[in-house]
Amino acid sequence: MRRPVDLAVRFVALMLLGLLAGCATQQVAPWERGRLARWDMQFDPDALDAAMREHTYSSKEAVAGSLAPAGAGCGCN
Amino acid sequence: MSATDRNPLAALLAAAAALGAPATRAEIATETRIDYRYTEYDEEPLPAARVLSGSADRYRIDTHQVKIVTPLRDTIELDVRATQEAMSGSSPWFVLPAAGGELRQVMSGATIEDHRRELVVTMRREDAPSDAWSATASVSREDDYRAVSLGVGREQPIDPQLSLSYGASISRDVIEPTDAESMSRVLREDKHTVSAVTSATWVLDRHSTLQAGVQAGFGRGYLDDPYKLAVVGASLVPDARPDNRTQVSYLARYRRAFETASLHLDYRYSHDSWSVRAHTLDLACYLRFGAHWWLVPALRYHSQDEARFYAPVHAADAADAHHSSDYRLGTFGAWSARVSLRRNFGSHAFVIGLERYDSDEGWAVGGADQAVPALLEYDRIFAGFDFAF
Repeated sequence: MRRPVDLAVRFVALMLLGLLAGCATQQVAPWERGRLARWDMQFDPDALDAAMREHTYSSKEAVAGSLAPAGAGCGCN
Repeated sequence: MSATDRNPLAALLAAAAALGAPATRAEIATETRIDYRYTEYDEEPLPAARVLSGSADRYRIDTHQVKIVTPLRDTIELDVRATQEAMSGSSPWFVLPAAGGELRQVMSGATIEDHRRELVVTMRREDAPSDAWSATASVSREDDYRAVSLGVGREQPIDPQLSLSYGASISRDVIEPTDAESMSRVLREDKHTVSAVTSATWVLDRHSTLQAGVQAGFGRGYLDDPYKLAVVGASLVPDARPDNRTQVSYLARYRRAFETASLHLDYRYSHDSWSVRAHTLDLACYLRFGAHWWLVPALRYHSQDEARFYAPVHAADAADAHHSSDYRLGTFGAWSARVSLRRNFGSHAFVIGLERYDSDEGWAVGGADQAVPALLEYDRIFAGFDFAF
């Protein structure tokens, strides 16, 4: 496991990335968000397939992790 | 398909629906949706030259998934997801050194038959656009395994360009291995897991969004695989891992819209207290053809370093007596290519897709020092429909 200082460095790096993204954003009026509201612009347009893939990868690889709180596990072997 | 794809008026209405919100999160459902997927997952047999005994045939899993989302009030929706899986096949058991220094995989002798049922129920309340609470409960049950979990989540708009999400969950898993007494396995063990996640989502411009976040998980209890053995010196002993594990993942997800297409790019870096480090990159293109068809080709690359107690065979036991020959804890890289085709019928849709997954020690970032004899190849095909009323 990484030392806490490494974790802190990574966390700070992530926050810096966020700040950069924030600086890079353009003000987008609500009526300019038609494309962002499209089905294909969701983070997981096909939720069932995304759940299936995440379940498969996490049971066949050593790591798991998504931006959703973890659910119940499985005895996959 | 979004209504925005059909005509300018629909695009205007969709934009109006996004008024005042970062437009990066689905709003409360206004109609009931039922989605269904059937998936066939089929692992390739190991090459005969690599198998010492047992069946080379590996897992095949048939899965049915149903997801129902329905509004309970103007501000509350209920999301129910049910999964049923039927699994059969053989599983890698342990690795033995053969003549000439080669390593051979021993597979489980009998075909394993198992079923898994999972139910996930989420209640989501949205008091204002993108200002929401959610609570999730899930149960998963197999013939030899049970798991329950509870979670809560929160989404908060910070400004029209930025929203935050955070959440936490706890779970408890119980395993009661089959043939425990005859195979000298543990009779009953359990583990507890706590997970926390936080992320931020930015609207970068009229065409793109970015999401970045961290997930941390801590597991404690029985984390071994009771169905695996390892060669340690001249002995064949049960798989033995630390009784706790801390895992941290950093994720970034980028979405870019074009006139009739969009680009999805996801990256994840993970590391844990077992010395596993992994990079995962996923690239997908959503391509619209005509008014109703979507083609979605995608490519995924995963690379991981082995756990500190992994070896195909162990010359001697480590000081902490942890050892495993589980191929999932070895160093390897994996490529996965998938494609799906979607046809929309108004607010309904039909989808089919397939995926091919292949892994190899040599594909890992930096290469691998040790063999991983049971590395995986599989094919997955799926079909289903989305129905709204």
